[in-house]
Amino acid sequence: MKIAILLGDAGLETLIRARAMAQAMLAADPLHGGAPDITIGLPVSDDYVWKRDAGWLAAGMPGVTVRRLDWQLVPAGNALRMHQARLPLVSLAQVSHVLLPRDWGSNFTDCDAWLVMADPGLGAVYPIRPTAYFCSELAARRHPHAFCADMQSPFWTRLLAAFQIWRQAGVVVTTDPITAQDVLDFAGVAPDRMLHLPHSFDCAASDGIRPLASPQRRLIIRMEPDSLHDIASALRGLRLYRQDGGTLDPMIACEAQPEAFRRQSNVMAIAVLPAAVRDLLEDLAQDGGIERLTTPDRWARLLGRAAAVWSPRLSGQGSQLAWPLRFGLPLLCADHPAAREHAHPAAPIRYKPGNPDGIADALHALQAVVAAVPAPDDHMASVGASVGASAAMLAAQATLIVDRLLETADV
Amino acid sequence: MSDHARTPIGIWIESPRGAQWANQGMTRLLGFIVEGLAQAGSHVFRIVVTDDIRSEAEADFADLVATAGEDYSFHSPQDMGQTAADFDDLARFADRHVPVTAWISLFPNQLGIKLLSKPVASIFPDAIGLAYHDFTEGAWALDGPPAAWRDRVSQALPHITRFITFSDHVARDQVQGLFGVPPDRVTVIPHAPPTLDGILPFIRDGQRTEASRYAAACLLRRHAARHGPAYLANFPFEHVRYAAVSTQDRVTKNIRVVVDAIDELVRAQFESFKLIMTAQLHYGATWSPTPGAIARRLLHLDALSMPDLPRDVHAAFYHCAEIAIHPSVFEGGRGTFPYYEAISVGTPCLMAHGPHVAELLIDTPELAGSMFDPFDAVGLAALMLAASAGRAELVALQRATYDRLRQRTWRQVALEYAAAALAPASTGISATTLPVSARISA
Repeated sequence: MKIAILLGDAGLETLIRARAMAQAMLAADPLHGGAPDITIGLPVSDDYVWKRDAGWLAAGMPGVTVRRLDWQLVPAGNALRMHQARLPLVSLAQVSHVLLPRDWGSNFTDCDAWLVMADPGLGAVYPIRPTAYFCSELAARRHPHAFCADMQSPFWTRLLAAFQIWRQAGVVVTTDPITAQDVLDFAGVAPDRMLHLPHSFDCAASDGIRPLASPQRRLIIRMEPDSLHDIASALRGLRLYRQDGGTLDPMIACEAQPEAFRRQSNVMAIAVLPAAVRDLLEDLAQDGGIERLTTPDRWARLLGRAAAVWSPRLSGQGSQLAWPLRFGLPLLCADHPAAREHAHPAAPIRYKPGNPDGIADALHALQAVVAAVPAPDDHMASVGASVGASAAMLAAQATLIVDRLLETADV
Repeated sequence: MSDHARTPIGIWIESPRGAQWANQGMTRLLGFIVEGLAQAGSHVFRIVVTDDIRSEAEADFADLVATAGEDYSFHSPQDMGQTAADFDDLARFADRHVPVTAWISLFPNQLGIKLLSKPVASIFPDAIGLAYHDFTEGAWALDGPPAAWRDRVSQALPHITRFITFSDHVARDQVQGLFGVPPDRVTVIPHAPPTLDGILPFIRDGQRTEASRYAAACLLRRHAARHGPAYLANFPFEHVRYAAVSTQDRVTKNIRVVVDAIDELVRAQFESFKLIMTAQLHYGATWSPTPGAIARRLLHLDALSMPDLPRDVHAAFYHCAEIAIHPSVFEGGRGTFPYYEAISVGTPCLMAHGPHVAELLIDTPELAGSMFDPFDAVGLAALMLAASAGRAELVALQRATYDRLRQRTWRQVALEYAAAALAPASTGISATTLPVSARISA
């Protein structure tokens, strides 16, 4: 059996989850047949970047191949005619356009089943093969302005089209309880079409990255320049903290270009900030305090040199929460359900977002924790191994997904 | 009892050209009263309408548990080969060709009554337009609707022997307070609690089961597939926690507080709760704050509208809901229809405080925990969660109250209407200010 893992983007979190998923599937013990082969469809941005990421995804896993993937938006009627010989049992009555994966060959139809790891805001992926949709989060429910400006945005058309397909085809997989609830009553997927797994796939870090003796005061702020990261309040809070004499040394780690945070940035979330806050960002930038996260390895390397991590993201699971804990680092984060799940080895310090004064206070509390904990390299080995799900747990989860796909796959 | 022995009472309705009869509001009330009259068998309603609306009205009333020609009859100028150019013409026709002992006017602003020679009692549902102001520019212009309505009621007032209200607070605050009508010319006739029981065959004794909820959800999906919204066409209603708000969106309806509560629950507290309302949402409108509140927050997939529900789908809408909410700050009656309707199919209702609810609480203090401050969205959100967590207990409590209130029947109501119409002008027959409990035992 060959399963395609089709990625909606090549972002850091997607790469991390995709690799962990592939690893788990290779170790799966499905009801019929052996463990599947895995073909990962990785969207192409820059050719160099694609090769680098493809190499990272497949490294050390002979059963995994990576193909270039272009998502093609086609009229629903065209999709019906293109695949008339094996139409999936879904109605496209409410859907004007669907997404089809393209690899300039068999377009992944040579795979027996698909696991789509794409945000539904991308659009409705037409399930030509038996399909499972992995949903990491439905942030559009609680933070819609991070995705669009108004109700007329095409974003909603794409999202609703994806929901229509989810409701009819295969199964939607999630590892987050709040997302499972959202899949039900926001996406409208009935419980029998949902697979809620207990462990996230966020902890699969690169091997070989060990903590260095870190500058004791480095605070990594895992932040992107958008409202989903509560950026206005977070940066105001940071400014207050520094005015109060806070001594942690902040460094923003982002997937966006560092220029997005500079004084002349035309990114809306930055451009509307008060001049004093933009000055703070500019000072950080000039001191090398804004670092682009290009790869998971880079992220791990930064964590190996940090004293603490702060994630102001307003929702969702992800490496911004899981990895700092895996590295044994004190973690500060906005309060939300996914953040509340983490209690081991120590619960993160949580604060109510949207309040700069409260955020500044929380930063001071973090500073006190940093002063009290041992250096990461002293206890990393004991902490890191116990954070997150074990490989066996993830393999068991992957088995459930594969079994579900096998119910309808013709293999 | 044969028709000859029955006392004929005329019903006066000024339905403007192009208006729909529509089985809602006052015409629905009239239907309930006619059904009550059929049970009593002592009176007959002779309903005068325009020729335009005649066939629609007859078709609607054909569904009632009442017999045309015996319990009620329709009359319009075409019966006599006549036409009526206006309501004065219609009144002249009625006065000459529809033999009655007295009249009941459906609204207090109908001026055709001036030409009726028999005594006229008028229903006075409320004076919302005068008490709860619409701030659009034309509303309070010199000849704007509220001022014109007030002028017409003032003109009709000397010709009305008796006013009928549905509640003490409308009698006190509006009929007496706004128009200076003395109390002995006002009769308060509260409605009998309406019920949706019997509309859906899969609901037994108002009990909600997994099977009945599924069946209700199927009806809702089917309706959404045909009439929209598309988002709800194949939606798992039976698995989703939603609050049902059944009302039109008007100045007193205060739906926005529920939108605010949903925003608080979903966005601030990460809870799952949807709002589905029957009110039509007019995005861009400024006469209501509700559409704007939804649009600004992009809450349109958690605050949705399913308007124009047929009776069975409406019952399913309530049955499937986690809770019903009636956020209105004012109703002309005693209590709220959504409470009676929702609990009749097994769903508890939360109600905003207002004069209508204060009056209900006199007889039902046990419902105090189901009430909320109409301006406190956070408080409502907390109450919604509490109601959801203790749903079974709340249903039991509200159902017991409902069963008690249902001892008042539409037969009683119909007889009180007949008595009010036939009462001499100077006699205050105030069974009127008695609480419901006293009226049940009377």
